[in-house]
Amino acid sequence: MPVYEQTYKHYDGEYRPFAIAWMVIAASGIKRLWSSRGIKFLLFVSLALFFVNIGRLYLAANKDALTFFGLANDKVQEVISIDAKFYQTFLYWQTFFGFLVALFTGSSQIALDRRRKTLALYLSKPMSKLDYLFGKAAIVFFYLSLVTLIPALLLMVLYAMFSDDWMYLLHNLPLMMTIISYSLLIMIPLVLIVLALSSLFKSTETTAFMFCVVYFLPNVVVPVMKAFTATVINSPFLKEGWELISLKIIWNEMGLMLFELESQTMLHWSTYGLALLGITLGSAMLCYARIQPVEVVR
Amino acid sequence: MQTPLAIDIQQLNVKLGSKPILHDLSVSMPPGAIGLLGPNGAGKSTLLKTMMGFLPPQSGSIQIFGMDPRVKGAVIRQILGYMPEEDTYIAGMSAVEFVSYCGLLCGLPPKQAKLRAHQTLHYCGLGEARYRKIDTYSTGMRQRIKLAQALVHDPKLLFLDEPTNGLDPQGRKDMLELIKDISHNKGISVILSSHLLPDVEDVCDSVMVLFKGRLAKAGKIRDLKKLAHTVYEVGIKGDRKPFETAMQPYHARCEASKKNGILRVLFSEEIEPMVIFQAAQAAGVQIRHLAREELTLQEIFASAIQDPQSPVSNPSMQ
Repeated sequence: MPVYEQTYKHYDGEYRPFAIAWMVIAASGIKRLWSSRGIKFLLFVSLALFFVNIGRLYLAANKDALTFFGLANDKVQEVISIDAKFYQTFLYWQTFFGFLVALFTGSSQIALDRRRKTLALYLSKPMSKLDYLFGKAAIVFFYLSLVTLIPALLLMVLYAMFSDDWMYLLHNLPLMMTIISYSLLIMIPLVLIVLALSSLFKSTETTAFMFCVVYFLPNVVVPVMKAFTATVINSPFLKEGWELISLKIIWNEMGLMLFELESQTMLHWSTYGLALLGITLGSAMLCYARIQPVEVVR
Repeated sequence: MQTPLAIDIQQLNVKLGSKPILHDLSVSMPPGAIGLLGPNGAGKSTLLKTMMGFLPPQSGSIQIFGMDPRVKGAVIRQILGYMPEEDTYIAGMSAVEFVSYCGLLCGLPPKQAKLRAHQTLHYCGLGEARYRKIDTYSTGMRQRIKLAQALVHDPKLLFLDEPTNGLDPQGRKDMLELIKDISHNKGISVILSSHLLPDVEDVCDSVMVLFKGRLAKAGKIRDLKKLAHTVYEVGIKGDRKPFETAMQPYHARCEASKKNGILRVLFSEEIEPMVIFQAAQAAGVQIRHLAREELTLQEIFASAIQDPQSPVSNPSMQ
């Protein structure tokens, strides 16, 4: 039968609002990534510390178990004490796994669409550049939350469950808010940095490499430049200022401030906050500028 | 109520980077099958992308079904389907997943998106292959899936950018039949951008010819093909002279054609061909060949791009 004789029916039903286009992108992206074995393995590895901490929580909530194992001394009690420092340390360590998850889930998001020229296809649908960006960000955000926010909150719930004290959650609502805030401070910049890099390159590998450079290079550069600055200029502010290019240091300082822990740095926490805001906004603006349905060759 | 124009463009100027691409373009087209012709680099794709709101015009205005893409971009893109020239698809997806995903992006509810994906893939001739990964598709199949994704949400207007690129003769014929069916039987207006004149001639009722970013010619193909005079090519068996004399009362002028043995009969006004038979009967000659002479699209296109500065006779077609 010739193709033109086959059926085509007009659609007379309702269309959903334009505003949900980003959810369609997010849902499809999350589902497609979930079907890969790599992400499941990565998530499992990333949650190793979470599983170790479950043991800590159990011991902290069951002092009898400590006695049973002959560990009921002050030093052990101090190590397993569940306080703000416990959650801050957990989330701070999870930033590395957050980086790995962002690397795995985010590097290809825009780069592949640019390479396969799918951006024009997306933007020819009733959606804006922001919808597209939200959709792509939501995919990375979802997987990041699985290794940061969700396990941190789960740890609180598990502690309440092990100690059979559900009021713990109610009494520690501010702590819960702090965990959410700190997780967002980790996740949002990671999402936007990886997407900004993904929008810059058409290759997933190049994006991943550049993301590693952005993440690890400051860890090498900062101590060297601090030492160098100390020998040239006697300015503690300038010396410490190098820390503002390192995401790890910024996250650490912001975590100490949020969880009301003592910081050793000379810079005020707001300086780190501004640096993080600058990195985040810069990445967001870069992403937005690079998402173009038409590539202009100058 | 008057049907709004499919496209209404007034004094449009568009730049890509710092390079001006479209210059002072004004044209109006009613709904239907519209061909967008021009040599490579004429600005056809730029015009399509500007109409979709991808490129902001430097000056001038565009209306798609009475709406401005800069103001109602999302609404326009919901009633519009776009088949890009480039080979674009999402790797790892089967055809039905991809088309259904495009339906969801256009606002179809999930069940409808899936249902219409199946229907549209059948319509586009990919019914048998709809569960295969797009990565494994041939060029022809990829062209069809690009058409299917543009159709899935039932648009009012389709932008087809070089839809027959890379197709073999049979694939090209099938694709053109499909486009003809969409535009003539399904009530969907089509703007077919191509540099292949036979494709446009085969499918479209109207045409816009762009050359170096300017509108070189626009109008209904039927009207553009008409000559200044009504001209018939006549092949006769018998003596030419009495036939020429018999034609004189009709104010006709006869001249020898370049074709062997064929006479060109020029009338200053529209005239029925029956007159020629009557004159032949009166002159005692037999008519062996009779055809109305008109311009080919090739000739229209050639004259348009050779003399792009010539005033466009009929840019508005309402």
